[in-house]
Amino acid sequence: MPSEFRDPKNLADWIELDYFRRPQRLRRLWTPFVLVALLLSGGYVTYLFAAARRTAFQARPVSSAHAMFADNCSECHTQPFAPLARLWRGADHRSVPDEACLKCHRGDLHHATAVGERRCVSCHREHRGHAELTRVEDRHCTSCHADLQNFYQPRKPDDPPAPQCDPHVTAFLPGRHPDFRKRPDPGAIRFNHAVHLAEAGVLTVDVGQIEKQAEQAKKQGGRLYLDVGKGNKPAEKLGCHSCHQPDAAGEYMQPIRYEAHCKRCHPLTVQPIGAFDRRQEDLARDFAKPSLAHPAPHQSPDFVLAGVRDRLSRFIQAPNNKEAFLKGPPQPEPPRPIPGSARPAALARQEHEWVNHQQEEVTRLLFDGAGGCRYCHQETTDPRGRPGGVPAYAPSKILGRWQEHARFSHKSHRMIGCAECHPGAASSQATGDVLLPKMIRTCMECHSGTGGARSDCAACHLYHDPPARSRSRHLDGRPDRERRTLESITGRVAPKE
Amino acid sequence: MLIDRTHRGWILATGALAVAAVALYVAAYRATPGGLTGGDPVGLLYGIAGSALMAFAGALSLHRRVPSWWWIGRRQTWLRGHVWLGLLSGVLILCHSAGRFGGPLEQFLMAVTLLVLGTGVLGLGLQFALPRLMTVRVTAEAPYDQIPHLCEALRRQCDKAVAEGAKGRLEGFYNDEVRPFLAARYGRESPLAHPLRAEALFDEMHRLIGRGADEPPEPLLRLLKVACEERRELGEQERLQFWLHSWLLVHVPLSAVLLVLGLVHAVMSLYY
Repeated sequence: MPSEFRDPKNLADWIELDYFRRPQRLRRLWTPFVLVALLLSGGYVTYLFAAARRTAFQARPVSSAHAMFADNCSECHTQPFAPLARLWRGADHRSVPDEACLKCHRGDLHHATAVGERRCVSCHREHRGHAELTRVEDRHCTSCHADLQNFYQPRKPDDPPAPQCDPHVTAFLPGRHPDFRKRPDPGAIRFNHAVHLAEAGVLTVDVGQIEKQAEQAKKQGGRLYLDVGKGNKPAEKLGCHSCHQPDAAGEYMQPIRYEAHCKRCHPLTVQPIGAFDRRQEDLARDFAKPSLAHPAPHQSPDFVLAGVRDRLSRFIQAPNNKEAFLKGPPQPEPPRPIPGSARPAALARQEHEWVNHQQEEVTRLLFDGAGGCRYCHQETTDPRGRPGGVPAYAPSKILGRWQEHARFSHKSHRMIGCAECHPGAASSQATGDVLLPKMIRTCMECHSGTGGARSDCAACHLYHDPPARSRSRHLDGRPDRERRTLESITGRVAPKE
Repeated sequence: MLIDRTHRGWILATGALAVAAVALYVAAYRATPGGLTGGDPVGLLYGIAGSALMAFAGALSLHRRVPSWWWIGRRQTWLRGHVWLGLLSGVLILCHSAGRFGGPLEQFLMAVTLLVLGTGVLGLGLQFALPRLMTVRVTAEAPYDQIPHLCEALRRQCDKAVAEGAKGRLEGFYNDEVRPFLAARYGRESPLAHPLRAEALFDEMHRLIGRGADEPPEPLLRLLKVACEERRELGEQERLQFWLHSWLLVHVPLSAVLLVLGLVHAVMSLYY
């Protein structure tokens, strides 16, 4: 609509007819605005590259474990990046070869025949922030374990057999993850949890064992001089922690050792056997005192015999003992010591015979008596035909780690009572009782995937072979001269002090 | 540019492509343990496609420089492609990033991308709404670049009329109030910039120059009142047209930055 001043007839009086040939008012500002924006952004990018150096190219920072490399990219990226090549070679074509990882890490495979060609970076993706590289996504596992039969193809005759695990595992949820596999206890130690964990406590010296030893000593014509009636009887309430103590990392329990966990209540008593008069009894009682450092060494039977013979020899060579036990004047040997060193004296014939006799008695007490070695250990030889007269015992095989493809931290579960996961421990009487949680639902009560405790595969399971089956050299086993310097890792020279 | 039914084909095609691209990406993401990154083959393809669409959108400004190349298509078609394929490029680039904004350079680039898309959508909305508003508020639209020239011409005409017939209070009123208001730079603080206050001012002047309420207005006073109304409309048109085009002062420089930094990102990513 025309105004009162302007209409099409007098438009030429009001409008410059060539105005459209000139740049528009706002458009004239485009060029300076574009130049300023380019300058500012160029300045920012330049600053970024100058200040952050190579980290400006990083998608995200490296994980905490690799922070020591700082911006020394070539430490891992030893091959050209060539990202476009991934379009035809696949996503696994990366600039970090496995060799770069194996420089520091053990690279044991996990069923190599099953998963075929897998590279470290296929699962362990770097530059995703400070996350754990070992915390890989479940789909890396379930891509095979959801239908395992299709992924295991032995290629050579000596390839291992198909893994004995559930072929359909899709998540740590009821019905989608199997229970713990029932595995027999390989332990060969006779042990009764119920007795040791009795509410009334246990005696500090096992009277049952002592009585059996006394019975055996009586059979052999002697008597037991270990006095359990004087201050050795107070009961002590034991708990799980009395024997099961965590390792330094707090993850697994330390091995059960006789010296640390059993010896105090189950002393290996050895003593001279025979019908002795009062004075000899006193001396024999001294020999059998449980406070001695090693009444009998808790070692192999050969070692036990040697140790006992050594003790008997020393015992009979003491002047008082000779007089009492050998009933004859000592036959002193002229001392011919080597200057600067003490030389044990050789046994006289009588002493030698006494030691031989006592060793036979002690051997019977330890190896044949019910209160001796077989009180806990299982003999594998026939007692009537022991080779060389020395018995053999089955290895203890007390497992410290039951699930070799999984890891567990007792420290992380310290807020839970032992009986929550090992409910049968207090009532277990048989050595073969497996006291692991029977149902994995116990774990799922917390590891439910609804927040809180982790429930991903890597939280418990180990992908790579366990250390016992390691096929490659472990970094810890390398001599110091083969290890690296900080300078070679970071590329920086440490300042001199 | 109005978003009307002629855009239906573009909207449907762009929407279908965006849905298909996102669906394919989500499927590939779920099938890949650990998810995808911009450096994976799928991520690279999305990055290349998104960059190509961005380059096409940026080529709109070059289209006007080659008017003789008729075979490259009409500008209207390019403008629609700029809008819809530019939006599609945003979807592809977001897929390429996999929700991770990478290092400092990539974060900066992503911020610029979002700003360019944001200002583009804002501009599209302004270009859709403001022309309609201008049609209602401005009865005699003038070329935006000629508004200062028009104001000068208007003032010259009023100067001439006042010099020929005004004296006393009317001349003072013109010199003090009307003439500054008719200047090329619009005086929003002037009472004449507000219709009601201007009406009251002219009624007061009508009374002061000795005219009764029933008498017709002095011809010169009526001329000045019409001139002021025209200046007010030109001022309103100037304001609306400023908003109609000023978003480009953000959109265009950021688009240039996006293209340059996108090139830097591509070169660095392909090199490293």
